[in-house]
Order: sequence, then C-alpha cells, then structure tokens
Amino acid sequence: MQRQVVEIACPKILSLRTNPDETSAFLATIRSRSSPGMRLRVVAQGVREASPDGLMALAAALSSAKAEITGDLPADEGVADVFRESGVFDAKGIRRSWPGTPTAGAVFTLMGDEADGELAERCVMFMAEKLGRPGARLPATYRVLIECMANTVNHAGATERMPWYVHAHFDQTNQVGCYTFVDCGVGIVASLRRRLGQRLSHLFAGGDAAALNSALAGDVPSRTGLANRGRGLNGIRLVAIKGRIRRLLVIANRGRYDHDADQCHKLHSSYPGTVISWEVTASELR
Amino acid sequence: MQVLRIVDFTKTPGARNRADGPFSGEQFREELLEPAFTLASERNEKLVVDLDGTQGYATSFLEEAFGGLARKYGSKKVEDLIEVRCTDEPDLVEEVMGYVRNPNG
Repeated sequence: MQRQVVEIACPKILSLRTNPDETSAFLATIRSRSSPGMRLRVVAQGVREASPDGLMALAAALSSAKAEITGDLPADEGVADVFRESGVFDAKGIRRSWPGTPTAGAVFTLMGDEADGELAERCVMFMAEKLGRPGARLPATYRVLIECMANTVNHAGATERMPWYVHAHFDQTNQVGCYTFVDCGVGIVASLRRRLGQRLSHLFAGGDAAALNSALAGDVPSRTGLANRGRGLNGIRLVAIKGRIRRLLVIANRGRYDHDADQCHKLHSSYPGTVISWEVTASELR
Repeated sequence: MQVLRIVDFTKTPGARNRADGPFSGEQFREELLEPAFTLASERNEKLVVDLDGTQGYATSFLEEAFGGLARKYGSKKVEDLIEVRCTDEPDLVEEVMGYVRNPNG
C-alpha cells in the first residue's frame, strides 16, 4: 500500500529575516514530519520572495530530513531562478546537494562537519572576488565562520556530530555579500538549557529570547566555568558591534536576535536549529 | 630573539581543540608555541609571535593557544617572554595579551 504524501506549503515570503514566524513554523513542520518512512512534498509554487537565509534554512532542513521528500519550484520564474542558482534545488524540484563550488553567478554553497579553516577560506575568497578584490581577506567573517562551525561541532547534536551548511550570496545590484550559516541541531538555546539549565535556571526564566540575548552578551558561562571560554557567540556579536560585519541575525529555537534593531524577541514557533546570517561590503575587505 | 609566524603553521587557523578540526589552537600550542616558548625560556630571550598573513582568527583559537600557554606556565612568565605582533589587525595584540593576563577569567 502506498504511503500517503503529506504536503507542506512554503510561506509566500520565505525569509527568517522578514517573515520569521511563518518561516520558522514551516521549517519546524518539515522537521517534525521528517521521520523515516514518511513521504513529504514541499510545495514552493506559491513563494513570491525568498531571501538567502530562508532558502538556506529550507535547503538545510531538506538535507537533514530522514523522510522521502519531493517538491516543486516557485511559479514565479525570478524566484525559481533564486532556488536554482543556489545549486541545491534542481530544475525538477529538490535535489538537496551541496555543490561546494560556486554556481554560475552569485552563489556558493557548501557543507561540512568540522571547524575547517580551508572551507572558511573558500567562502571568503568567493566573496572577495565578487566584491572586486580577489585575494583580499575578510578576517571578521572568517572569525564568525570558524566560531559558527565550532559551535555546531560542539553543541548542535544531542548525541552525534551534526553537519553545518554555509551559503554565500552576492547581490550584484547593491554590491553586498550575504552569508548564511545553518545547522539543524538542537539549537543554541536548547543546547544551553541541556548543559546549564539546572545550574543556571534564572537564565531561562525569561524564555528563549532572553537566554539567546544572554549568550550573545557573553553572560552565559561555559561548561568548564572558565570565563574566557564559551564566548563564541559573544565574539560574533562583538564583531558586529565593531561594524566589521553588517545586519547580523541570529535565530535559535524561539529566540531571534536582530543586531541592527538591537532586539532579541520571541518567535511564535521554535526554529529547529541555528541560523546565523550577516552581510559584508567591500569596505570590510582587508 | 626567536620569531614564530603562525602563517608558517597554517594560513587558515581553526578553532580551539584538535577534535574541532584541523589547525586548532591546541595543535598550534602543543606543536609550535610551547616548544618555542620553552627554548626562549632556556635562552632567556624574547619570543616574538607574528599573527600576520592568515585569513583570520577565531577567539577560541587564540584563547586556547595563548591562554592555554599562560595556564600552564603562568601569566607573568608568558607576558615577560612573549611579544605578539600583528599589523594586519592590530587589535589582536591586545586581545591575545588579555587571554595571557586572565587565563582563568
């Protein structure tokens, strides 16, 4: 007997930056239904707008899903092109591969499972070339990438190491590079609660948004108790404060931190994992 | 005076521990920094550590390398013997010395 296919519709605006509640709810649904034996169809036909962070969070969710998944592309050709350009989605639907080499145009996606400087370097080199200075460095972005990778390696998986995914997208019109880092682990806040919840219950009394804010502010101790440890997230935020990356966005579980708005607020649906997104321009090149 | 250039170890420094991935702060400290520091100590001479030329540094790499050195040998001894240089990112010098001076937070 054929198993029934469960259809899950993408929100019209697939973006954790501009439509965080609907997008995180959609991704949480994919996660919750993606057990072995399930058949899912992701309906992207109605998507009118897809930002790099939303697209990559979807791609990562599909890559880590254990169900059999099919799908379609947006009916809007411009948006469909955005899906195809990522290299993750093919012309017939959803392929879920990570090319690891720049696709034609403005996109570079790759995945890994350790804190790998050579992969971070490739992300930087791609953007430096697009920004008009091949061989230039983006040391702040490099720092953020390594910290994100290490965070995934050490904290994303409850019992096993999880992969991470990086997407670099260059907006030719505005001359802006956008990075999105995603993992489909337990999420920063859930990881902190698991490791520190009993010792530091006050950190979580205000909910996920408050806990995420504390982690970004450097107020959460590491499991070793040493003050110079466990400050990777704070390091990322400090880089943003110094203006060396732009538009930092951090989403984990029910917390959403928007650096430019200087706000950390609660999502209505918990995002299953961690998304960290930021932008760079030529002025950040060294 | 010895000069130890991190770019000779790697152009792409990693994270904190060997288990995190290649070219970690732990690996750098154990394989290069500690031997050089020990030699400088025996000779009673300065050890210059040059941070230029890499793609950049995670905080965890720097803390494990230099904070770890201070945890093992003591902040004062490390501060007396080591000179950190970085023209690519001058701010890193003070960051590193902060880890040396406060290795236990």
